[in-house]
Amino acid sequence: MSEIKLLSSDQATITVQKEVAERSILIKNMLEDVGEVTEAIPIPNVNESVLKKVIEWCEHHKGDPPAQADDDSDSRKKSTDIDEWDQKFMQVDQEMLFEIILAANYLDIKPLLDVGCKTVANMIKGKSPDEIRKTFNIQNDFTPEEEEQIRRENEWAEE
Amino acid sequence: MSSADTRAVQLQREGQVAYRNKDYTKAIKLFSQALEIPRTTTAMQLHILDNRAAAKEKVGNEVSLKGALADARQMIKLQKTYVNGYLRTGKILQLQGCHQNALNLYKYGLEKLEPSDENGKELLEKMYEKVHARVEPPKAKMVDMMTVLPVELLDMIIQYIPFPSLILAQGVSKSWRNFLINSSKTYVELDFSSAKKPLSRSTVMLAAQRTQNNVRKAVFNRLEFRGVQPLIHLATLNPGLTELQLLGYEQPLPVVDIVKHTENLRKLIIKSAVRTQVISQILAQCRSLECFECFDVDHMGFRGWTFENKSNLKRLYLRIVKEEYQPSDQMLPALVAHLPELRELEVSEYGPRQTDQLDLTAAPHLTVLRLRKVAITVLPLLPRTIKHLTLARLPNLSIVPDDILKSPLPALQELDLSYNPNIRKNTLLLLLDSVSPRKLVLDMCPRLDFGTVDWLLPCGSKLEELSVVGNSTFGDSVSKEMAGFKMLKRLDIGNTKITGIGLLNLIRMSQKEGSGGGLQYVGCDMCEGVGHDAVHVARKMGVVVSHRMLTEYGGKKVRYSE
Repeated sequence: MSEIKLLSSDQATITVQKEVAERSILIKNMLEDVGEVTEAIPIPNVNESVLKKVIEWCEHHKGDPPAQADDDSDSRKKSTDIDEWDQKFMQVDQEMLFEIILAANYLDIKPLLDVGCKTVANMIKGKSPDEIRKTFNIQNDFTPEEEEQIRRENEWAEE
Repeated sequence: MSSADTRAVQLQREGQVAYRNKDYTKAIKLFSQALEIPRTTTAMQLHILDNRAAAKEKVGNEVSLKGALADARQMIKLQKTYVNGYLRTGKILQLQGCHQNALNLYKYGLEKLEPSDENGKELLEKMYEKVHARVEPPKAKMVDMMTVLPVELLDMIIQYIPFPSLILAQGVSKSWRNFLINSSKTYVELDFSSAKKPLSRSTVMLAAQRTQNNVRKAVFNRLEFRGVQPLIHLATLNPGLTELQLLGYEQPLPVVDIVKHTENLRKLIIKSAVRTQVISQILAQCRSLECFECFDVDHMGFRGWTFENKSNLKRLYLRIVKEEYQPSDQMLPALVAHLPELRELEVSEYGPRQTDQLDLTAAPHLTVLRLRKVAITVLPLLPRTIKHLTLARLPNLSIVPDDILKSPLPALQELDLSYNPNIRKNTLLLLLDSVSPRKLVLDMCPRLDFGTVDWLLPCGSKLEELSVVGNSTFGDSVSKEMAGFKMLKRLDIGNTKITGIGLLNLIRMSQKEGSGGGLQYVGCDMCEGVGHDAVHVARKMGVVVSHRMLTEYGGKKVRYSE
């Protein structure tokens, strides 16, 4: 099993199976373009801890069939079901969660990006504005008048 | 002080004066001369190196910073226990942007200092913490996604969030509101189905204003009449609207006016009162319609369809709730004649007695036909394409062999004849002639005798689902025979004579002989002969068992127990 090295933004070198790293379309294309590489491939946008986490996901999902190119990107309300392993995997603090999403996007790992987006969506679904604020520690920057107006506009959607 | 040191100090002082006057080039020159004096003490050299590094640092360009770093490193080399060497080197590394290297250096220094050098250690620790805090700001567990994610990723996330939640989330903060109102992904599916209060004109208006001409599906619940105008506005703005659902509303809405403005509507669901005439007008108006479901039809007599052109409709569901009709009402035959593309037809509760044979072969692609509580007396003439056939609660229907022979059903997969008191064994077998259905529903057909199932086995080779609820002839005697349905997975024998022993035998035999793995589900609600123990054992055998009992009859209290 051939291995390659990745160099994180904070200069850490991580050795990983080629097959695992190729879950990233970015890396896969890069490897196809340059052929054999001996030196570490720089991943300038991803730091060591996030890169390790992403590789952990790729390890677990290395045998998955390739994602089908369904891309009906406008279709709405796809299921937000997440398989159990992925759910556990995503139990990280929010900073890490968003870092994983950004990394999955940069590295072009569509299924991981989807899991990340679903995880965030599940944190927002069915919640009142106040509950959302508490979830993400957001300051309410509306004036009382604005808040009242918005509440009236959106009254129909309240639980 | 040695003479060498005295001369060096002289030059150093001149250098320091130049430094204070901000003449760094001169200062560097003087410090360099001082360093060139041979045989000066290490302490002297360290001090002057520190000064020269500081001066180079002040020049500030990349080359001089490199020089400063070299001087500072030289200090560490000369004396590893000298704290200023680490402080100076660390400072320059920070100026070069190498914070991580500075951190590593401070750590290294902390190991090399004399254990007694409390002061030095304190200085290094302080610096370490300061830089560390800058490199990794204290990890906030919570992050506002609006501040960290780019718009395209936010758009991806909100596609997974239902419309009402997106509306509520607009009240979180200004940045959330701004993003959600302007994102093209927010107003793609307008789903007002969960509306708890009547939808006012302004609510619909706001939604109409905020769509970016890309609404595909709109579901309105409890729409006020005054909301119709904005809804028409919305339909006009969004030519891509393909699905419209109008759920409960109190006043009748001018549905025809609305659909007039939907050029590409494919699916229309109306769950409130519409008259048959309106249905006809909608079909005339809306040529693109493929699926049309009306749950609350007022049938005030059929006066023919108002359109000439044939519709493209593929699925039609009509549930008639109110009717006043002439005995010669011809809606059903007219329906089919005008809808040649129809794949699925469902009609419920249609009262006019149909004594003529209904010719459904006019819809040559029909695969699903479900008639419930429809007053037909004769089996319709059916196209050979039928796969799913429901003829349930048709008390006037009497099926004669001749009619069956006229409508062979070679594609039949599912047959539901529930609540037909007149269905007999021969009729059923004739309907199933040379087909092997996957699903049979024969609930409340009292004339079918299940004292034995021999007669049904020949057409049961593919049977996966069988339901004979309420058949009093079904009991333990067929437990063994049932294993002849080798593919059977779901069996509903609620309200029959089966007992616990029979149930377990049945499951055991099917697991032993069934080629599809045996039964997965058995429904035995209201089977008095089945006890809790048997149900428990059956569940242990890996079968899902439904076993609800009416514990009180006749009274208002109806309780179910496991």
